[in-house]
Amino acid sequence: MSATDFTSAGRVVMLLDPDEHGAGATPAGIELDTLGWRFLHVTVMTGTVAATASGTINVQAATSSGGSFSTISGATFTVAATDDDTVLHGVIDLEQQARYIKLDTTTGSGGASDIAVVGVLYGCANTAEYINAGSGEADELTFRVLS
Amino acid sequence: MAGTDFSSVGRVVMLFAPDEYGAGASATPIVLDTKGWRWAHISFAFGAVTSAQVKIASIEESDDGSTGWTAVSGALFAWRDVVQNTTLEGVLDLLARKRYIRFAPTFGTGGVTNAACNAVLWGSDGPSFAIDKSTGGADELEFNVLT
Repeated sequence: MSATDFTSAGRVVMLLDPDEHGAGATPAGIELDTLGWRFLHVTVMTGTVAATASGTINVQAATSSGGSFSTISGATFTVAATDDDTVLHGVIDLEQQARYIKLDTTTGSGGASDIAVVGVLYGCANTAEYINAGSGEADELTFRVLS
Repeated sequence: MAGTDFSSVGRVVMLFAPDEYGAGASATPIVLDTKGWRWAHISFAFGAVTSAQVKIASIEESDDGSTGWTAVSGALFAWRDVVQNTTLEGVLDLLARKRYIRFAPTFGTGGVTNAACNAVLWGSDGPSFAIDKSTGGADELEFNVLT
């Protein structure tokens, strides 16, 4: 059993906020600075997918913030019209990719899709450099139940 | 740098699916079997929010996953003004908890709330016991980009 909880070893970040996205929508992804992290585990969560055609979620990378993002070869999710209440996973070794990551999403046509995407950053030299659990900071905890 | 990617040491699971929840609606919880895991890191994410508030909601636990659900003391996302496109986080030490957990918040009146909730299960005796990455398994990867 690990004595170290996950907040000391990784970080959960939003890559696409949960929303009911319209048919054929292209919701903006949230740019992620991966500096110092080794792996990114991407998790696509769906609720009701009313689309009648498949949508795609490409994981893209760029060397600079706000720069020109290109799809990472192989890093594409297909969200099928039948993927209600489904979780899809993918892994990227960040040592092989440009520093900034963002999703390029196009929902399927024919109906709305409930989608959220989170990323787990994992494996870095010094988590204290990147994780800030202080009040009001990105990694602040609402609760911590240890007993 | 960690040589092992996250998908070999942890698991990302949904606690309720992303959706646009109507005023006063409740999320349908997904019962989570935590057997073998040490920690649960819970992320409660919001997209577009017009209801302004989410009601007090606790993580609940049960011995058998169907009866006797009780609130985990302290594991509380309290009534608050919700800022859209934000995430609230909390941690549970599963050694001190019953085997099954769930989370079913009720959303505020006055508008809709786009929300989703996931948990990162972390620290197990043997991840191969709990992680099934085979075809069709709960943890199957859509891609594994290592180069």
